[in-house]
Amino acid sequence: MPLEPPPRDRAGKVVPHDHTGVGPSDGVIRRISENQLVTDKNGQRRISSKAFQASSGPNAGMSVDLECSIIGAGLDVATYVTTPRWIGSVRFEAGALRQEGYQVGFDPIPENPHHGEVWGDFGRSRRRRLQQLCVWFVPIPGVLAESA
Amino acid sequence: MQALLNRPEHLPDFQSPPLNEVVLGVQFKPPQGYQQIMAGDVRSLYREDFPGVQELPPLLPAFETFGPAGVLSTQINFGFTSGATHDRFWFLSPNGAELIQFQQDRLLHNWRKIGDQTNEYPRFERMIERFEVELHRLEEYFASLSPQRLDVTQCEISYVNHILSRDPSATVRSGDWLRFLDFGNEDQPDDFSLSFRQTIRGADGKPRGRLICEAATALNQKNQRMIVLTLTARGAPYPPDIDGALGFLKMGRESIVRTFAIITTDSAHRDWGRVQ
Amino acid sequence: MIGSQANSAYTRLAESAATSIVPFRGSPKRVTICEPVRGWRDPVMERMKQLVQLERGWDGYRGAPVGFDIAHFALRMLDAACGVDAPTPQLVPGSDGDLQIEWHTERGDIELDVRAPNDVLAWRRTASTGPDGEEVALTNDFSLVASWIAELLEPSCATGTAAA
Repeated sequence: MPLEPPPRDRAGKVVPHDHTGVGPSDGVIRRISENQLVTDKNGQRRISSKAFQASSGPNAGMSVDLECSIIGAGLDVATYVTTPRWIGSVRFEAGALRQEGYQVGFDPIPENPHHGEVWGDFGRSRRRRLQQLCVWFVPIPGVLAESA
Repeated sequence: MQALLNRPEHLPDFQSPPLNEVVLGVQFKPPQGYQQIMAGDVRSLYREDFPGVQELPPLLPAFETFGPAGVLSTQINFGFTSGATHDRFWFLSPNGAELIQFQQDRLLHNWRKIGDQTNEYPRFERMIERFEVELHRLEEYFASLSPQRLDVTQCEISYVNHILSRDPSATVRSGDWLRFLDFGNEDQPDDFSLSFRQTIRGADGKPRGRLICEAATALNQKNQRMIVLTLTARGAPYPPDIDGALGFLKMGRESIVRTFAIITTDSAHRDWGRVQ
Repeated sequence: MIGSQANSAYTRLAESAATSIVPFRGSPKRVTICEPVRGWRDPVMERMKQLVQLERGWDGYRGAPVGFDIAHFALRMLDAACGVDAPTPQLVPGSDGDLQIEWHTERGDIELDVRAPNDVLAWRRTASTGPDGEEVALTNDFSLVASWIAELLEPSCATGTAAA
């Protein structure tokens, strides 16, 4: 079942919200690029904290893909989020994000009808916490998801 | 903020300084919603007073930063342009003595000597008053594309002086004009090129920008030997808006004029008619 | 702005044909200061070239290439903070065209979040700061970062004491 349209402001821009159609156990996928990887002091590759940052500007959050929306469209989630080629992805549970004070919302865009946003505090300590919450969904070989 | 119309009383003043060019400039974040195809709209903002147009290659971003590792003099050049390029446009006054330079992250206003070199310098107070109007005009235009203010990242003010020998047939002696480069009665060097940099600090003692002084020999179009003495103040404004930029330019101008008076000789000051 | 880019109405002495001035013939007596080689600079420049040329959507969403102004500012920041023996940092692009510069060593971690020119959040974590580290907002003065990097280079004191 497609998600209900999100609330929008007068300019048509999606406003931060917590979408009731995204259940607590539903997956919230964040794509990870090779460009967002770093090597730690032990030579181990990891995801940089920069990968878990919101965009700037009003109403901007951290872009994600909503698992329930992709499944509702009859698509394979891992295949859908692996765009462009070679990109990896991590998965959060929506409920775990909400427990940390984040809102998980629906923000369909022309190039991605299953696009969502996570809104909240993306200060440095919070980003490290996000790294602890996520697990690989489409792993990049040899790369740890959690922070050092 | 209205630009100061009165010259600061404490500032050295000269009746006939060897000024050849003055530049006021700001660098700002590329505005949202702007593309080069809209440069014609920007030209319209200034066309009445600056009807001439020229196109030149763009200037690269420039920033003053501070730290113990110093500053590399090498220019940063990636060897390519990123995405679409934006030319630099000159909008020229009818006689070419003044011009506005525009690209998607810069606005500058130049005054220069032209032709028989008799056109008078309009003075800083008048230049900055006009520049303030030009900046606001540009900001209003960008705001019409998308609500925003001009986010100024760097400011620069440059004074370019052409120092000629008193006797057109004689070689210019650096020691006659520059306190720090006096070879006495020894043979003068064939030519020289040197520079020094000095940090400009705010009232809180924190670095705000740099004063950069460059001196070099040259020949003018009449084959007369001269010294080109360029003083530039460059740095980040606070706050990063038009008011902050005007404040930096005013501070930079004072720094330049004071330094000019310090590094040039008493005899030079007499030649230039120092009145303050 | 000054340098090899001529923003004034004539071409600078160091460049070719000017409208009103020409350089002297013959070799000028110049004092040339050879700048010491900074080993980190070439790999950083190469990486920065990649990042300013990223395709839009590089992050799978609406990621923009690193902005030209941010790239230039970041390089000048590193020029001010990193001496000849500074370790080579890692560069990570942000979705908005911003940039994070990172060092991860035995002695600690440093992350410089370059959000815009003159807008940097500098963070480090060492044994002395505790697990959450310390964060400072910086504009154009990177003396603090230089001291942090110097601490990363200090030899560890925790070795060679267990032989007794």
